Amino acid sequence: MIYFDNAATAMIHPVLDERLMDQLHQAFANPSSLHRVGMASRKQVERVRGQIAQLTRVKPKEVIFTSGGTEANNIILQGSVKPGDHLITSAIEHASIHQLVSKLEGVQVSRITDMTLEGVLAQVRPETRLVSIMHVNNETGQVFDMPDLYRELNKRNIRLHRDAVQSFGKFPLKGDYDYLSLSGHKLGAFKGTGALIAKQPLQPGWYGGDQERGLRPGTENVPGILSLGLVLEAEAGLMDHRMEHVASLNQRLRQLLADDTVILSPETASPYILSLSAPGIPSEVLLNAMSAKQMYFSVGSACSSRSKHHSHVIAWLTSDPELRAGAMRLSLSWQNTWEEVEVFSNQLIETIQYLRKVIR
Amino acid sequence: MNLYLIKYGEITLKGKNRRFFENKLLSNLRSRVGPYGGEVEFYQGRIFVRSEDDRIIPILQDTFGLVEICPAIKLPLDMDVLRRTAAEEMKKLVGEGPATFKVEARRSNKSFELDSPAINHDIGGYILHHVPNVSVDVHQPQIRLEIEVREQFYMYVETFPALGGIPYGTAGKSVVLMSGGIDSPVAAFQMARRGVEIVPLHFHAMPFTSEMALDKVRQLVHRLTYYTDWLYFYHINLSEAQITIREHCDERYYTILQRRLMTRLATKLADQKHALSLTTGENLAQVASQTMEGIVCTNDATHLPVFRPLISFDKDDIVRRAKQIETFETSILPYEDCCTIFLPSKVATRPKLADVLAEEAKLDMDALVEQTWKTIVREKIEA
Repeated sequence: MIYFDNAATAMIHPVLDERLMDQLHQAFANPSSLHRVGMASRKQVERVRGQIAQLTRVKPKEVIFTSGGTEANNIILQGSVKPGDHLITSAIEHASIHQLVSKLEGVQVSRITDMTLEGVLAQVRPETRLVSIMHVNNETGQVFDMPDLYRELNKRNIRLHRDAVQSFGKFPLKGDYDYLSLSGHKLGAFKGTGALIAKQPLQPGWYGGDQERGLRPGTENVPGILSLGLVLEAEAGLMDHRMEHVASLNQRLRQLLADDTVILSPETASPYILSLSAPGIPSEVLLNAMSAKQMYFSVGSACSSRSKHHSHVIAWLTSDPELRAGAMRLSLSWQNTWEEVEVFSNQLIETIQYLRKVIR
Repeated sequence: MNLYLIKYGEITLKGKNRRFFENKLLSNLRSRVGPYGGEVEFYQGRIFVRSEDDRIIPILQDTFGLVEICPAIKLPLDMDVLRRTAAEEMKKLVGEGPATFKVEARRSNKSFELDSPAINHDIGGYILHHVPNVSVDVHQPQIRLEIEVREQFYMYVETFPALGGIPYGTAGKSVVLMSGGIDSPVAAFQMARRGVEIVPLHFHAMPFTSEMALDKVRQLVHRLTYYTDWLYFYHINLSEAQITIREHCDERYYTILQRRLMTRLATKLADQKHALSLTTGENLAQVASQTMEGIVCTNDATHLPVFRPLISFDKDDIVRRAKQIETFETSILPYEDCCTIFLPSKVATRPKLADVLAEEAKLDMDALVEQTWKTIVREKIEA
């Protein structure tokens, strides 16, 4: 099996096999209980919170655990704008922002296609309250650092949210922010695990408890949180090393596939994501053919694959219908190997060449 | 322990073969009620089921070959109790009225002092006096009040309708061509209801169709096993064949030629499985290949009878039936062909057989059948 769909989610991190069950048995109680075992659980949850705070250089209370990036995005956006406000985002956000912004009642939205500081500032109005721009695009891997954005917005009393789901733990973020979304399961922690960072206040959207500063009431997802703690511990200090390895795999893929595909991701994109296209060959057919050989990647973004329309991100990237129809995403992890890259490329090329003959 | 009297229909017309049908019905019933702790008994020429579990009623109602399920009310051998209960039950059923009824007693306990006619008379009379707005009709009563005299009284008033049909597995075998659409599961159901053992066969075109599309059909077959018990599900990959057809033949004939190939493959499977017929969900004129001319051309590719139980249904009828048998929701899941490259832009809607044969002659059809047959996979789908 060759798994190149790590932007959708990652394989369970090996550290969890060894250590998670022990930790779970010890921290089985409800962290909000007042007795000793409850306090033991609470301590574990806070320890992981501390780990994230340290990594991102924020205060522990600014870290709120969620079920993942989508929930983080929802809590942040719904908690930071109100009717009458104006919000700036991009045309290429993940579905959780893309769909969410049109549901915010009474909020005007501008979606920029010019992904630069100037592009954002050009949309600023008196009512602008929040800018939400993703850090690394989930379909193409493109990086939008915009290091001066925070300062410029801060001057104008506008808050900045970065969706860092594809970069947290993988690719460094330059520049400051008010709110950040991150995902744990993309690093190999349990699905249903993520967090947000809120350096500014947020209005709560749900009720029913005090947990997570009232922003995410309900019993904490202790197994998920502990799994994230273990992953972060196992990966401590390894981010650059991992990225180097993945970058070499990415380079090799580009080399091997250059003749038979069109590479869509720029060289400056995150090495973890490679968007490419076999023009004129419907990418779903390639997905099926490779899946039958136990080789996995994705077409469109994982959350939106139920609908038949083409990705809005690929639509932004290219207007060529053949390129759009054949767009695929290979997304890597530190667990992938050079050999996997060779075998996968080989099979992909074979399949593409066969289908080319058939389809023409 | 509840007792249910099972009424079955057309078997009683079968004469010498009655034993065969009854035995199959008994064996089908036993497999269906077993998981609910049910026992089947054959007593005095009638079929009864005993079970503690109320959930058994819909299971019985959905058994092919049964007409009515009658739960028994058990009473001590006391005429007073019998009279009063009979009147109560009648009142419940009749409501305002008017209604006609008949009492039918059967006495297997010969030591009981009254004989059947006496019981009929007694209870009938009591009911006439105590239940308003009813009258007796011995020919076509609306309500039949049956009383069995065994070691207790067993009274049957209320009945639950069953699916009718003929016991599954008594009417031969048929290979059913299953697409993932709304029609073919209904066609399969219709045949199974008439006692035909169905052999579901699906054609996909991986990688041009998805795993999910195949799994959708698997789920539809699984739904059918609720009625038929476990099934072997066969599927064949047509993608190579489609490519070949596309290479050699005029695009107006793709669909017909493909259907002829499917028909041949289905026939080959039928021969192997000793099935004497094919079944399809074809309906007149819904899609281009289902005009009468189209059907003539595909029919020509087999020597077996092809049953088309939905040929005269309106789409609405088919949808209604699909909802009743709970295949509709699965059928409408959108996992259709993800690749439109094999869809012709022009289709011959009224093809002439001679033209189709001429087009087909450009292919080595025997070789194509052999090659495509090799992709067949059989899966066992448990109920």
